[in-house]
Amino acid sequence: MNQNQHTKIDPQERSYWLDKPGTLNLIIAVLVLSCIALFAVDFFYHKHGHFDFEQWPGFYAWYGFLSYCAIVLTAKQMRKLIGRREDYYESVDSDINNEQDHDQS
Amino acid sequence: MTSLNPAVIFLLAGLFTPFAAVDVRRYITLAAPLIGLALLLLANHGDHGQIEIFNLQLVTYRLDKLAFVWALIFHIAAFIGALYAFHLKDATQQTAALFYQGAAIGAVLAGDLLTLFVWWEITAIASVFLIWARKTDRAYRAGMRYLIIQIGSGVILLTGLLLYNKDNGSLAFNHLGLESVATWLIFIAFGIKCAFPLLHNWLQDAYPEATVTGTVILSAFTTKLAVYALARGYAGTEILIWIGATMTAFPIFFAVIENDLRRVLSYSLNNQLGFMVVGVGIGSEMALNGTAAHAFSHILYKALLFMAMGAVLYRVKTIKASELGGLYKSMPWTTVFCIIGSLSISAFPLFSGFISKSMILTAAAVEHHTIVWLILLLASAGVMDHSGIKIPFFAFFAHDSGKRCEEAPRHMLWAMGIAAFMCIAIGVYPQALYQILPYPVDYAPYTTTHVITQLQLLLFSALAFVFLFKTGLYPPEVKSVNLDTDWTYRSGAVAIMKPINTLTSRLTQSAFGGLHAMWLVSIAALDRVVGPKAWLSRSLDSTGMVAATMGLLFLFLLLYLF
Repeated sequence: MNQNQHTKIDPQERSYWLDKPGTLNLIIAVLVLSCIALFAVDFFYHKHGHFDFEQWPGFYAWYGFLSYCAIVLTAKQMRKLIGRREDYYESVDSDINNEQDHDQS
Repeated sequence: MTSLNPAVIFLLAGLFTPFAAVDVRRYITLAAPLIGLALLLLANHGDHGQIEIFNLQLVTYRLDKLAFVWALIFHIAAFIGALYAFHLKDATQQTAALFYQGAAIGAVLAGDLLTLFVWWEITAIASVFLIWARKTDRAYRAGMRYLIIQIGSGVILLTGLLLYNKDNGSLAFNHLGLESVATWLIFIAFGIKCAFPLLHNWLQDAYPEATVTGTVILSAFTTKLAVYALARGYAGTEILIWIGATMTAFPIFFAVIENDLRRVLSYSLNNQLGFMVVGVGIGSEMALNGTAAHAFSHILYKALLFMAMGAVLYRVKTIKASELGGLYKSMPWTTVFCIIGSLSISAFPLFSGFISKSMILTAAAVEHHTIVWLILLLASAGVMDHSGIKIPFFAFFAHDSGKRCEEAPRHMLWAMGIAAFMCIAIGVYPQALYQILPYPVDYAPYTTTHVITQLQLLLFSALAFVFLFKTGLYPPEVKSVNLDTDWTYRSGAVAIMKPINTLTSRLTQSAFGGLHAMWLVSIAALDRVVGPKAWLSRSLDSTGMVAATMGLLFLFLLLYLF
């Protein structure tokens, strides 16, 4: 349904800032520099915490980075165990094959 | 000053809606929350609407500080949902939404368990129509599964409250605690609606199958009503700390590998509920304030995210991450609003999640729940992945899918804009929210330590994403479904029932020669005993009856005398 809904890319389409090759690298560079600055700040202020380990330099930075990697990589392995084909329970198009345009009716 | 229950306005509007003209209906759905809100703000705190039925004292309208927070945000969510759904002509969805929202408001304002139960059931029945309104076979089946579980929760609640009344002679809904079978049953009923681990999967199964607007409305009420009920009845119940901590952690793994972005948000919703449940479990004033504040800000940013993904589904007709990407070119406003929602749920400073979630983490730290605190911190990094990065990145950026569409309709943008504004307003000026919390707030979110440590956690998480994505370690979005506990009843139970069914039909076949033959044999047998000409159906002569009665009485007398 609605095959005409998505017009394909118009060759005349204006170019976007994000599509320029340097932009992505710029964003990553800003992120890396922010991270370095945030890590360094830890040595220059008194941290108020509830636990001793919060005083380790860059505790939150390490914890965030490592947690994130652990979550994503564990989930990736879980896919082998619980991932199934899209039509495992019911046919793939069962969410659209008899869908009337419910928002218009 | 008024003591008219705002829920009544929603019910009246819902009764009137099906008979109104299309254009009138739209305005009714917008007006009901505004009138209800006015009634709520004008009402005095205290007990109203007391009635007595069969010697049961019922308080149908109790307004206090705890109930007020939930009633207020439910009205706001109802208004935003109605605005988002303003294009609908479908009277079913509009009526169902009004009943559902009204019932949720009625439930948080209920002062006794029986009133709570009635509203509890209405939320279940009304909300399923928001799923069925999708009008696909798939949505029909998902709705059925959802309804069975929701009604199941209601039946358990009813059993619990009847036992509770027998034990205590009162139905007042105050602190219950896990002290008897009755309160355990009520706890389980609340736990089902709150999507406790292993009882959670109705949420991820059903919400993504609802309509574009239905999911937005569903996301706000049922589960937060359950959080309210837990906060009211089970504050300080220690087991909730561990249940909540588990809830924050396990859904994030499912969210990472889920392809349907509205299902990702449903897992994320489950994870956010976990934070609130931990707050209830700790039960200190700061923790309960944190739960109330987090429920408030969560409803806004979660609705915002569901609205953004709904707009994508509405325009592109799919919400699978594997099919999307590059939509920022077509839907710039939706992109901006979605990012605001992502920043809020990830708890960036100046956004609403920052000032509410941190209260719960601090409350856990103050009580020295070290392991729980570490789990919550890990879950916060997980939120950054699935809701902070995955949702906006794979829908609006990533590789360009080549799909081009119109921007979301204007009323959807307004609804998203209002929610986004409130997310930022709460983040920038938290005192506005802190003022209405149940207890006095002694907490300052914007300390140097808190801002820096939170930015470290989040930006290093983002750095981890860049690292994993650039090195190709980040799992790609692929068309797939993931097994969860719904497998047990969607496949496991079917697999067990199949051989039993086969065996039964074989036995029937060999004994009677088929099901139809068995029917005939059974009916003939019944006919011999109770059929029109059978002995049991013969009308007896009254003389015989009198003689039999006399005989029995005589027998009784004999037995009594000797």
